[in-house]
Amino acid sequence: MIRKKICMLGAFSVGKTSLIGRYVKSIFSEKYLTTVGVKIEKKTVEINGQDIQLMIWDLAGKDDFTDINMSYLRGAAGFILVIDPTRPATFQVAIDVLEKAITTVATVPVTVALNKADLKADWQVDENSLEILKQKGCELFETSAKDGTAVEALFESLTRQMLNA
Amino acid sequence: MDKARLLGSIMATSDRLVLQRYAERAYRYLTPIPVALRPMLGDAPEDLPAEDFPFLDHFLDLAEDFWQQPDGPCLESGSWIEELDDGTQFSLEATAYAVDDEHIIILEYLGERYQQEVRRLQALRDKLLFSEKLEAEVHLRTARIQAREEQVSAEVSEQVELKTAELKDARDQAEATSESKTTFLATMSHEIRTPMNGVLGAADMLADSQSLTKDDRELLGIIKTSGSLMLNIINDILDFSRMNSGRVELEMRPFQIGELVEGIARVMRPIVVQKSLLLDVDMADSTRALELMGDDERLKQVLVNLIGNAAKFTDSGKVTVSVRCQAQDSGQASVRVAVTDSGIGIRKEAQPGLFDLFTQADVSTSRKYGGTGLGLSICKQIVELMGGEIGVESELGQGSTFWFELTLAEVVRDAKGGAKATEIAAEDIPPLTVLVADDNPINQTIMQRMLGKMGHEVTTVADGDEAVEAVQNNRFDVVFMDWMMPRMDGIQATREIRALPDPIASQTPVIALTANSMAGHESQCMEAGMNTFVSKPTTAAAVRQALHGLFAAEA
Repeated sequence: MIRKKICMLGAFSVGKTSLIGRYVKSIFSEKYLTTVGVKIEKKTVEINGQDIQLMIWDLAGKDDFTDINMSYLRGAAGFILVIDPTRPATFQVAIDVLEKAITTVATVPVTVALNKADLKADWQVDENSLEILKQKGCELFETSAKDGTAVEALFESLTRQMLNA
Repeated sequence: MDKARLLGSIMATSDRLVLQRYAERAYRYLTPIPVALRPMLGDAPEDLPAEDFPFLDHFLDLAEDFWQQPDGPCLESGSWIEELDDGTQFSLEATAYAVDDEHIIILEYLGERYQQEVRRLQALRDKLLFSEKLEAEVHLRTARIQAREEQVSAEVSEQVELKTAELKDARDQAEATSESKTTFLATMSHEIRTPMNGVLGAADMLADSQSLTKDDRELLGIIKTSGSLMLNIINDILDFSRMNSGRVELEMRPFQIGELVEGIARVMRPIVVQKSLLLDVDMADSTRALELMGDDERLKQVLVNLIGNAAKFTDSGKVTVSVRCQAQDSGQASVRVAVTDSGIGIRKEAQPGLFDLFTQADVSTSRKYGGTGLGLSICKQIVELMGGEIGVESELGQGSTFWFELTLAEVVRDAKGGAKATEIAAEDIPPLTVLVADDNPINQTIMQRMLGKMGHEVTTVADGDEAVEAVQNNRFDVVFMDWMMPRMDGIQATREIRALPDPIASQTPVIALTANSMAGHESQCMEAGMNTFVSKPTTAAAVRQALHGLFAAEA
């Protein structure tokens, strides 16, 4: 069976763990529990009749006190960059982390989750940052871990890109 | 005991598992598996089942690289969570050491220490998150307020544009209405002046007849007076129209204040005397000689109005025109002219509105004494146009004083300067061959007889086309040209005369003789090539004046 390592990247509290929880276990908790270190979830999917085991690395989000350990990205076949548009600052964090990740690892497929689509009325989209991400070839999804919007599509798209890479 | 086993024995009682690498990715247990890790690793001391645990597997790869070329005292994994199939989670930390030739891994169960770290970090992140969300909220609200402000601003701009367009429409409509009014006034003026020319012209000539009885002369006097009165009313209406549309331009000329006032007094005296009143002029000699720069014709108009009013509202006593030079400074003189009567006077409360349009002291005044109520309004506008001030002092039954004050430039002349107007006599002008172009047969007759009496030879034509043809085929010394005529008007006819190939014919002097006397009409005549302008209804004196201006030098 093909195994593919996916790393979830982004600022703290943007919903990385929640997206994994929704995707892998179909659960969502309103309670925010910060991630310390790393937790790896596995999910086997079938694409074009082929079973693929996704090893989804939930990395602690970047904040003023913690930086992402770039050694964790070793062997990653794709990144999911998570942004919380209700917090404009998370756009820039996403761009910074992505640039660092691309330097550390070879260029791999990246999908971007504009998460918390259920709170879209409060979004403050930084159009310049979005343009930069598009120019880097990132595919954008408006997701909601809370109601599941576009979560499957987010992971499936990345998986297909990783297989074609 | 080697160093690794010594380390293992030290760690034996803790939550740490000490492993010694003996081959690539092959380890032996130097300590017993801690109780806390047994659900994950099992009880038996066998080789590490790293392939079941992706992060541990990843760490062992990193450790192999580290041992090849250590870049520090040890390699730390950082904490991570392993989860068993039954959901049991283990918080772990791994450290790889290179001690001499020994390669050691210490795998540590974090347990409560991991939870403490989670709580510590969570508290910090909660604060950070609160601050960040607060900032985002402020940013969002600011953006919403800005958006609302922009919306309101756009709405206001739209309203302003709408109102501006409405006002523009209203203004255009008002201008169109005003234009229509002006056109109406011009037309009415023309239509009334044309027959009045006949009435007054005929009366003028009839007065020269020797065969009139006393009664005839009285009736003739009534015709002339009524005609003149009607003409004054038309002139007032026209003046009002000109003033109201801002079309009045002052014509600045030098004039002597004494001559001006006494000249008007001479003209008005017969009217005043008719009511058995006296008309006095009170003026110091120094003032009398004062020569000023201003529109004397407009000043005469004001004086005629004020003296006429004084005479109208006074049944006995006298009218006095007094002129005072109040100040002379830097080439300017301030002059106050007052017309005082011993008439009916004006109530205090009626005085402020006297200079407003169509206003008389009261309705009964209008009924008893007549008038349009335009005269004083026109006077006020003329005086203010000259930068002056006009006012009234009066008490009911005690008479009135209407006054105006003006500051005008003084004219300085040398000894030779100055000319006195003289009455132009018919003999000052040589006999002329005159062409009169007028479509109105009465006016033709009037002009024919008036000019004939002056000794000129007159030919008449009925339109502009005939006038051009006549000038082309005959020699005329001068043409009196009406404006409004069928087939070709006087303006076009003059243009065509000026364009004739014969240089003598094309230079024939043309005098406009028209009832079109609104602002701008004279200049239109001049632009068409006419030489001078006489307004209908005309008088023998005006005709003589016009001819004198053109032919006096040849006389």
